[in-house]
Amino acid sequence: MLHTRSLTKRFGAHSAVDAVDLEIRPGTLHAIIGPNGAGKTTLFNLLSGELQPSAGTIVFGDRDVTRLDATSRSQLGMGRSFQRTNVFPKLTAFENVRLAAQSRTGDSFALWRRAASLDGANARAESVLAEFGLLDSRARLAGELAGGDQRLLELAITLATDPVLLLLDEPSQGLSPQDAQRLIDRIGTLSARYTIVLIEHNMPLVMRLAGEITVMNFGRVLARGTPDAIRANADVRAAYLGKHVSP
Amino acid sequence: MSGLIEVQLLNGIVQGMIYALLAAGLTLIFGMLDIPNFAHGAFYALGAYVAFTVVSLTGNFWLAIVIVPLVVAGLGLVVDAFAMRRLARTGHVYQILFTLGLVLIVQESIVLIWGANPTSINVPAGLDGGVPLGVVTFPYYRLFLVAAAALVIVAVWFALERTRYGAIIRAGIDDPEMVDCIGINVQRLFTIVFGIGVGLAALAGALILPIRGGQPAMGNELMATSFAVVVIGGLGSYLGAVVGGLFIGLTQAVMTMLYPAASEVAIFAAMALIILIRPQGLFGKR
Amino acid sequence: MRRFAILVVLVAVAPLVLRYPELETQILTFGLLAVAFNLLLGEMGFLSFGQATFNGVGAYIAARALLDAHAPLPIALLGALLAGGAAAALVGALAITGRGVYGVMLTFAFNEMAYFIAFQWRSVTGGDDGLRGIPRPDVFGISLDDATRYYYFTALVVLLAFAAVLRIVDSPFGAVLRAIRENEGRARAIGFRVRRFKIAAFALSGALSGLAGGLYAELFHFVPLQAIDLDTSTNIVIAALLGGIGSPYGALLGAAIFTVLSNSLSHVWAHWPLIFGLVFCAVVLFFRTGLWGITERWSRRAAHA
Repeated sequence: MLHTRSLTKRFGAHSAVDAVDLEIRPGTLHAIIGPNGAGKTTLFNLLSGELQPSAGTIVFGDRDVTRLDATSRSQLGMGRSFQRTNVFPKLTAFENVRLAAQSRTGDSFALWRRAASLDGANARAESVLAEFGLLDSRARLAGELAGGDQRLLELAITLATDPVLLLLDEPSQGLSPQDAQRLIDRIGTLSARYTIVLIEHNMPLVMRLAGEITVMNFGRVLARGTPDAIRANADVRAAYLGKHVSP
Repeated sequence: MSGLIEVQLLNGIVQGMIYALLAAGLTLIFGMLDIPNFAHGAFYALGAYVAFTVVSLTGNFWLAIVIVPLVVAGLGLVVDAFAMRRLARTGHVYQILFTLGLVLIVQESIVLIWGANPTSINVPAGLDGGVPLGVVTFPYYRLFLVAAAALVIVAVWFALERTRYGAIIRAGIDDPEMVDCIGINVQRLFTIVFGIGVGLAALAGALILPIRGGQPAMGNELMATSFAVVVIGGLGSYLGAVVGGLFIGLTQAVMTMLYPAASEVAIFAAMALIILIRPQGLFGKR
Repeated sequence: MRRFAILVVLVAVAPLVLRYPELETQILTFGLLAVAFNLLLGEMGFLSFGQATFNGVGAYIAARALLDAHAPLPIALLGALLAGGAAAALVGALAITGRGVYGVMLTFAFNEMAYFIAFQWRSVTGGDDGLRGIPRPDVFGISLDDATRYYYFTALVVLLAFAAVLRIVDSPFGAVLRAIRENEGRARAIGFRVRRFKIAAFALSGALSGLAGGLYAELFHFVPLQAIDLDTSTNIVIAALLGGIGSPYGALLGAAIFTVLSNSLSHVWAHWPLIFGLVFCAVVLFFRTGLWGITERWSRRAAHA
């Protein structure tokens, strides 16, 4: 589905991401973990197209997307979420999701039509909101939703673009335990239908959801494998220095 | 040699120093404090008119160039404390709009107080002669203007780069929270910087008064040019503002001799080109 | 729909009540400029400081078409519309490469350039004398010589343009503009080619401004150099903000008030811009929704009461 070859990003003399080979197989939930400063976020931005790599290639499906920008990657089916809630604050929840659906319909330059009459996009928005339990909030402004709901909306926006691959950047960051739980449940159901790349700090979450894990440290791949294999890996334990490696 | 070309070039330097003063002030306000001050030209005009009043009352031009920057800077402090701080969170659009409103207020106040007709004063006594250059003379006052502007520009630079206060201001701009933490009122500091920036514009207005006199809209045309200077020199670069000002002044002088029709267009074309090709400006870092 | 109907009625009866058809025509052309500006700031969140550029281009094109080619009025206006749109697409394409304030400054710089070009190019624009003697030909055999007739002709064109703007605001395209205003990065991330939308919005705004300029050219049979100067751009900004940038109706309201006040107050007290500046600063500081926003709040409160 998605693989990288020798993907490298240098900032000056420092390699934030150093010759990383990734292999994301279709249908898996692949988590990328590592201590702070391991290069996870840089890697994520390379995958989503926010950053251009210094070297290496990224192939999505059978297409080399290394030089494509974030917009083009989104149009190809690589949907991403953001670490900080990133919605359209003064538009309604429905409009947030409807816009995302609209980005796929090719009607966005239609000046003479009414947005409210784009049946396809409206229906799509409706069903995504329903799936996320946000239908009741549909008429509220996104910026006025509670934190947990905003995060769900953020994910709903991404899903409404009908992605093939989901890139999730620390979705549980900053959420209350209850909200985090809601989100985890949601991601759990999504993983049955989508290929997901997940960057996450929350270890229990990762261990529960992930089918495969790549551990990064100092910009390099330290280890990869199933959650059980990673849990048992001595290098990984050393890298984390015992920090939040809960069994 | 008739000296005409030399005079033109010297006039270019005079105009360039005026631009440099304006742009240096604008660099403090726009480049460092990140406030797009569209009323900068209005403060320049106000400087000229306050100078006119001081000279009318006291007959002393030297007193005027001391008082004018202080008075107008005081006004700047009020504007910053009352409005610009309040608008800091709403972003640039509303800061631009507010300063636009300020232009209306200042310009019309000038008409109300001093009238719509141009005003002028004599060159201060002692500087009324000139240096002979071929068939023409170059007025002493213009030489004085260049020297005075240069002195002030260097003094402000020195204050910013070489004093403790300057260091705190620069630190405050890089990391306001940090400086706040060590117990310094950053907002007050910024307000003072705003005042200094406005004061520099007012000084430029006072200095130009004996040469060109004052008219209520005198700031408008210069405002656009000084924005161009700041952008060309590099937003936030004090050196860039000064060099950019001189460069534009000289370019105008040369263009006026060669091809006057294009002298204005050339400046804005240069500014547009800089934004598109080298947005950080000639001397900007980033 | 109800609001638009009220607007149509107001526009229709205005000459019967006020009886200054030239002033009312000016309200409409200036209103169209404010509405066009609002499309960029209110919907897309881009402050264009160079709207007079497109007004001027439209006015000069229409004037030249009427003077040199004796073109029918609709053709001259179509030319103004297209030229304004093309100029704005060009300015927009360059201006949006500048981030934040730089974008604003670029529209400003291009306006200043356009002004000096118009100032120098006397053979086309008449320089600071302006262009005089612009004819106002019959349209479909109907004479527009009478000021009231020309008012109604302008009203028809401006109301059509305004209806088009309302439609655009409600369109999927309008929705994308608001997405860009709210969160440009996110709009990009969900797959919108933001640049194209911005340029298209500029072209639309410029086309409407060009049309307004074209209509103005025949009003006094005269295109002054002010049609393209920065003061006009500034006035557009001020009028639109005064009315309220949240709605095209607000922009129209602001333009009407601005035009009426600047024409009437200047007779009452020569220093009216002072009051105007004070009110404007107060609006920026305390009533950012403008007059339209205040009216809307009142009417909502009245409806609840």
